[in-house]
Amino acid sequence: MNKRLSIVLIVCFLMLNLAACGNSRNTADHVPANAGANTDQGDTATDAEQVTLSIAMHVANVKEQEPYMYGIIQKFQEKYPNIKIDLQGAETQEHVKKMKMMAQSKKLPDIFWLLPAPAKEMNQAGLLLDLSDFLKSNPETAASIDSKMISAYQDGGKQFGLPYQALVTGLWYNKALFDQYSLKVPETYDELLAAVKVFQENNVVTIAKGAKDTFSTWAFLGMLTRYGFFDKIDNIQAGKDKFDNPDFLNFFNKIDELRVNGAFPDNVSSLSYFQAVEMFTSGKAAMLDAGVWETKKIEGSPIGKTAGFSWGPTFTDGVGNQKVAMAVAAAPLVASAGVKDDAAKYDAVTKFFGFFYSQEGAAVMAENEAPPVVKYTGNVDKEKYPVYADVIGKLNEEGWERPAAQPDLVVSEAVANQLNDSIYGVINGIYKPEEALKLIDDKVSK
Amino acid sequence: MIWLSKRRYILFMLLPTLLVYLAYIILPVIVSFCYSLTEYSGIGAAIFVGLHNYASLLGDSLFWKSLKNTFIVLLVAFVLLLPGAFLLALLLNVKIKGGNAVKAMNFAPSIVAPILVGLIWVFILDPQMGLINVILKKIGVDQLALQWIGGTKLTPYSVGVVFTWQMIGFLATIFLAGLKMIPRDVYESSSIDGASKLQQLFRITVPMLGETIKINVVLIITGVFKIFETVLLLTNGGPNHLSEVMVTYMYNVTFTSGEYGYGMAIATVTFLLTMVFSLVYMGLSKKNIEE
Amino acid sequence: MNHAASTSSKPMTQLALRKQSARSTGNTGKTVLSYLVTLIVLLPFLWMILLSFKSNSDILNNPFSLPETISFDNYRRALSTLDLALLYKNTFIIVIVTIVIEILITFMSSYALSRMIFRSERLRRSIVALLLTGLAIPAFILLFPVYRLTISFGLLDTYASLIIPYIATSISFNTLLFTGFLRGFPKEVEEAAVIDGCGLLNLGRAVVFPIIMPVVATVFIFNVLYIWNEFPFAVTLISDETMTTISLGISQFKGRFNIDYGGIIAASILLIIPQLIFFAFFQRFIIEGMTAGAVKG
Repeated sequence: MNKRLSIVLIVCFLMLNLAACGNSRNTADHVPANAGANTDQGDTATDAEQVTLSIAMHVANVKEQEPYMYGIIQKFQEKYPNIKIDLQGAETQEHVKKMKMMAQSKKLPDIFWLLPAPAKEMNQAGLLLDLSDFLKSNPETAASIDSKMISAYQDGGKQFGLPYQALVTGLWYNKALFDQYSLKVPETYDELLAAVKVFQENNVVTIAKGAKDTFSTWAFLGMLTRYGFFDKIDNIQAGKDKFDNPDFLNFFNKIDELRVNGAFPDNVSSLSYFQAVEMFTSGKAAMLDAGVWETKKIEGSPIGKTAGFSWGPTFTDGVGNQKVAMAVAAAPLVASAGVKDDAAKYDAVTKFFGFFYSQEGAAVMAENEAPPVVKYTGNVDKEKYPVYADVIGKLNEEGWERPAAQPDLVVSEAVANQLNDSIYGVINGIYKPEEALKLIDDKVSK
Repeated sequence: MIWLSKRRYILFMLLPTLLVYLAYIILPVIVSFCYSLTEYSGIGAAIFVGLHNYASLLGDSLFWKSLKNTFIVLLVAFVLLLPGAFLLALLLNVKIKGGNAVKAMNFAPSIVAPILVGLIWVFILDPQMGLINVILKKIGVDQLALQWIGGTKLTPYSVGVVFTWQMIGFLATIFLAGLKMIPRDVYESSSIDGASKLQQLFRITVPMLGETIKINVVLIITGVFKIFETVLLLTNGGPNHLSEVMVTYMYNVTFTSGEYGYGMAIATVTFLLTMVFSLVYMGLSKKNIEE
Repeated sequence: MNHAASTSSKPMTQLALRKQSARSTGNTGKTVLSYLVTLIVLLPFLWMILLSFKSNSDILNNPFSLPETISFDNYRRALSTLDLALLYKNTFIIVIVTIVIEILITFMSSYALSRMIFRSERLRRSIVALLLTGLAIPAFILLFPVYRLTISFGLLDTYASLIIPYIATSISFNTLLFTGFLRGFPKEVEEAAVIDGCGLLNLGRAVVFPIIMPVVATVFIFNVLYIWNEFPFAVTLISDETMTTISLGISQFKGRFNIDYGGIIAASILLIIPQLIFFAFFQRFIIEGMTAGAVKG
């Protein structure tokens, strides 16, 4: 038995070695080929040197699903005709999986979208381009991006990415439904609970949510920051504190209280996020936990005229500043470290980032009603885009503090996954609040 | 046949298949197994942790839950799918008007991309807006309108039913091919001997379909252990992993939580279980047939 | 039991097959039953067709109402999003190459494993068992390593990057079917051919292959459909837009946080119909292959 096991282990060891060898040989093959191609082009024409940049995004159909990015790429190619962009895409989970595999084989695209946690890991493995130089040589661009959004993607002294989009999340509300039952749009938790009770009596869902998409916990992550998440998380990660602490427990008890009082749809456990959105836009739910990426859809829906956006309720037993507005960096746009080996490519990458964060880029973003990453100086037509204007208004409102990030983006993928699962566990009535928090602690300690 | 069985002939016949198989199936499985002995997020270096992942598997209640759910689906498939497909094949073996069209239509569910199968059935099983409960409530039997999906108990049974729908035409077609290979005259001579239709079914059809039944049972076992998209679409393993089956749980751990090493440990165990089941079954049935 | 089957099956003639068709007409009861079962199996599809004419919001809010006006919006969107000609071209090339190679090589290996005599019976059995284990392997185990192999062979973004894994993953299923049917089928015909001086290649081409035509047809159909629907490998190994296959079509309708159900349903109907026609057409060959086998045998 022992003998067999050791044979297996030896074979495994050899395999891993083999894989590693294959790997290094590949990169060796790869680099000279690239360099060769370059010198060829360099010889013929230095000015109009043709460069191809590969960009990989997190949707299969960038034109339809991320029109903002698609528009910028088109405009960019018009402006720099010698740079050709080879655009690729796959749906989010597949895309992330693919980037990880490409990273193993050192075949990363030149520029790509990535979730923050794997981006950090890739950076630690030295696979991503340090964009500090870019920011230094483009001080205007650097100044126009929210400083917290920039610092979200710094690690080990490197700027490994820049925000692709702003993640602006909270609770959408349908003013018409609140008016119908003479309710105030809640600003505090107590007002929210009071509204829940009235809506429950009248068979109206207060907060539309879909547990099938466990990632859809945005407003609740925002509320978690009102219980001192960012004061505690470093200690928790260091093992000095726990998720299962009195403050977080207070918050999870509140979620449970909302559930008991019927704030969520009866079939929340089998609903998808998409169905929840539909429930809200068709006027069946008073509020929706989502972000401003739904602006266009809500604006075009039957409730477009009466919809508004809020940062979610504040809490009397909360910790620290309650006026926290969840407008943070969503996910970074990163570049492969490999582009540094090729001057023309590196130049093209710098040009692309420069264009992406320029006012020209921001204008494309505004056309598509996406939340701004840079301070956009253009105007928003309030008549034509009432909901978007409301969102921009909320973003510019004074007196609201922006957190460093959304809570799930500063922990490992496994912990983030469990955090979402635990929140939904309480909403579904499957976990007791303490139990839900303990499950997260289990993942942290792992 | 003996003179044809020279070693170089055998080698010539086997080599292409074996080469492709070893490179693209066996080697990857070994590599994945190696990763199951490590802690690895998919990026950077893998840290060797020995059998640690397998040890944590033993104490992972979600793993056991997903195992139990998989067995429930398997049970449903054996009770509904196997006899169902056989009866359907008997029915389709009779020459009727539009027979080919009927066969094609019954096969249709297995053509559809599994992702769509899940999507279609959401609209049927959903407790609030699904076809089944809407009808049950309309005819006044509200107490039968259960939480087919999204609840804490019934999802795996529903998945079994969906799997049956998805596979029945596929397995029936294999049965049909088997039925066509049973020579007609066997039935004729037994008719002359005075055997009834039912006797013919159990004394001739079922025994002579031995190999076909075996193929189908193996396809059911391996199919159930590979169920993925249906659960993903119906419940995404929820609420809170209670309806997870082995592959969805593995996928969730590996790709959503980024615990690649642990995910591969789950995958290895799933793979071994499926194999043991299929091989044990084939071993058993072999004995029966040879006796 | 197997022995009983093999001795009595030898004189299988066309006459018997004709009798079968003559005998089984006029089964009104069974006809009605068949139609009924078919209707139940098809119910979800009929409903899908209904849904394909509704807007996204109607699909979720009033899934059961009849659409007030028949709207072809979903189809229009599906057609403008999908480059059907390209998808079919790519899938077609991959299917043809894969299937021709895999049927050839797995038929050869299965024939060897079920008819030829090995020095060691244990070795033969272990090879069969090894080839069958593939049935138990979920594609996700293979993804990372296969991606590596693809790169080290320099095959990324070529048709071959998909063709080889598809051949590999079909080996188990084909082996199961081929060896299963070969074992259940009498070897007398082949033995007679060998006695008449038939060589290995001729035996395979002229005697055995025609006999097992129905199985080849079955393997053919199932593998075409497998490739048609295969997603994990396709999405992993293909990045080049001009190489996308049919199974990737549906993911075009998914965004980061939203899904176009209407588009997906319409697109899948557009993609299923050719599949159904394909199947309706080819499954006749299972039966025709049978007769052909009997004539030549």
